[in-house]
Amino acid sequence: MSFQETLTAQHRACDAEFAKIEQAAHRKDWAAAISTMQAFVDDTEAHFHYEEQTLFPALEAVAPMAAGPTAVMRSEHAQMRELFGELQAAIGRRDARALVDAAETLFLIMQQHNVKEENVLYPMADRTVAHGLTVRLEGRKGVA
Amino acid sequence: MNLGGLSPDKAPPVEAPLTLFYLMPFFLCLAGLTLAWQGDQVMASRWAPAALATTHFLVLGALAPVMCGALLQMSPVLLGAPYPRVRLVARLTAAGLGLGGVLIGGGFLLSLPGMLLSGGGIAIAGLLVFLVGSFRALSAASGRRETLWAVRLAALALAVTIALGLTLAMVRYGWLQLPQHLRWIDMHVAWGLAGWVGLLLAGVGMEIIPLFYISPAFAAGLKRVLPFAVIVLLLLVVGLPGLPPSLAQALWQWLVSVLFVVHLMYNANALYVQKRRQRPRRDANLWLWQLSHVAVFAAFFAWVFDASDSLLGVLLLGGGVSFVIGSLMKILPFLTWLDLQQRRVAGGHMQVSLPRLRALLPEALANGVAWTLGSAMVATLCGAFAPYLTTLGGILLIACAVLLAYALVRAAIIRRGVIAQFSPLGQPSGGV
Repeated sequence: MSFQETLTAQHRACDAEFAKIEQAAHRKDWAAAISTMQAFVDDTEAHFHYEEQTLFPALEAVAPMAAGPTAVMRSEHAQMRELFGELQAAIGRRDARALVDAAETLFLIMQQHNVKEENVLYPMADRTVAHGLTVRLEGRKGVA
Repeated sequence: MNLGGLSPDKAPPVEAPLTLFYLMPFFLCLAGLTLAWQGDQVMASRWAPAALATTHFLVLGALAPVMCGALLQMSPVLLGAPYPRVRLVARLTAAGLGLGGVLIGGGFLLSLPGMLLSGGGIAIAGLLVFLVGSFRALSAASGRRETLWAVRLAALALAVTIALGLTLAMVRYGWLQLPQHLRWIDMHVAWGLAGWVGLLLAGVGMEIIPLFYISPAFAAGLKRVLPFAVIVLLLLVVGLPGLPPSLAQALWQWLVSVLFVVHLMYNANALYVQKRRQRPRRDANLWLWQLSHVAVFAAFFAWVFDASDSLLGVLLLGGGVSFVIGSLMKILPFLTWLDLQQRRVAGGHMQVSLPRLRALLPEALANGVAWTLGSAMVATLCGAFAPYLTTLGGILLIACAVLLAYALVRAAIIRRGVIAQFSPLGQPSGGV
C-alpha cells in the first residue's frame, strides 16, 4: 500500500474515533467518552509519531523544499495536542458545552490539516521516498 | 509538485476573505429593503425593476463576494493553489462587486441606464480581477481532480455569465440588437445560477460536507460527471437563439429539466450523506445547508408545475444564500481562531489564551441568523399568494442581515482584542 492509502486510512480511522467521542458525550455516556478519548489520543499520537519521526525526515532528506511544509505540519500537530488536553479536561469535568466547543475547534484543525497532507504531502512521499520505508509502514498494525 | 499551499508564507491572510465577507450583510439588507418596499412587484414579475434589483443585490453583493472570498481561503488547502497577490485580488474584487452591485441595483430601481451600465462595468472589472487570479492559481493547482474541475468550470461559467450580462445591459438600452433577446436573458440566468453558483456550491459541497460531518463520500461517478454535464448542457443552451422560436422554447424546457435533474442528484446525495453523518449534533450550518438542498427540490417542483418565475427565483436564490451563509457560520469563527493561533505561535505568546469557536460566534447568534433567513424565505414565498407577506419577508431578511453583520463585527472586535494582548504596547498589530 502507498503512503497515501495507508495514512489516509489512518486519518479516517481517527475521524471515526473522534465521532464516537461526540456520540458518547451527546448521549451523556461519560464512561464511554473517556475510553474512546483515550483510544483516539493513542491512535492519533501514533500517527503523528510516525510522521514526525519517520516520514517527514525521509521527505526532507530527499526533497529539501519539503522542510517548510513539514514544519507547518509539525506546528499543526502541536496545536492539536494542545486541544487534546482541553477535550480531555472537558470530559473529565463532564462539561458538555466545553466539550462541544473544544471538539469543534479540534475537528476543524484536524480536517484542514488532513486535506493538506492527503492532497500534497502523501502524493509527494509516494513519488520520492524510498520503497523500503513504505514496506515498514505496512508492517505497523497498531496505528490505525 | 506544488507545495505552495502548505508554505506558511503562502497561507492567505484572514483579511482577504473577510474583506469580501463584509459585503454580504450590507447587500442582504439592500435586498430586504427592496422586498419590504416593493415586494408585491418582485413577486408579480421577474421583469419588474424591483425584482431585477433584488436579484442583482443578492447575486453580486451577497453570494459572489462570499463565494470568491471562500475560494481565496480554501483554494490553498483544498486544491494546493494559493492565489497570487491575494490581498490585492480580494480588495479589488470587493470594490468592484460592492460599488458595481449598488449601481446595478440602483440602476434597475431608478431606471437609469448610465448607472446600470457603469455598475456593470465596475462589477465586471472586479470579477475579472478575481478570474485572472483564479486562472493563475488554478493552472498550477494539484488538488483533487473532481473538485479542481468543478471550480475551473464554475469560473468559466462566471466569465460567460458576466459577458452575457454586459451584452444584455447594452440590449436593454437599445445599444445592441439580438434575435430572441429574451432567450439570451434566460441564458444569462442559466449560466449564472446552474453554472457559476450551482457548480461551485456543488463542487465545494461534495468536498466539504463529508469533511465537516464525517459522512460517507459522495458518489464517485457524480463527482466526476456533474461539472462536465452541467457545462455541456449550458453550451447547448447557447445554441438556442439560432433555432426557430417554438423549437427553441421546447428545447429550453427540456434542457432546464435535465439541468435540474443533474443538480438534484447532487442535492439528493447531499441530504443522504448528511443523514448518515457520524457527528451527532445539528448546528446552524447543517440546518442552512439542508434548507438549501430542500429549496432546490422545491424549485424543481415549481418548475414542473409551471409556477411563477419569481417563486422559482426566490427558491433558487434563497437556496444559494442559505448554503453560503451556512458555510460562513463554520468558516468565520474558524478562520478568526486560526489567524489568532498562528499569530500566537509565531510570536511566542503562549501565555495568551484564545477564545473558543463558540465565543467567537455564539450558537444562539448563528441560530438567529439561520432562523431569520429561513423565515424570510418562507414569508417571501407565501407572498406569491398573499402579497403583503413579501414585506414581512423583506423585514426578516433585514433582521438576518443585521444579525450577520453583528456576528462579523463581534468576531472582528474579539480578534482585535486578542491581537492587542500579543503586542507589547497593547495595540493591535494587524487590521481587522
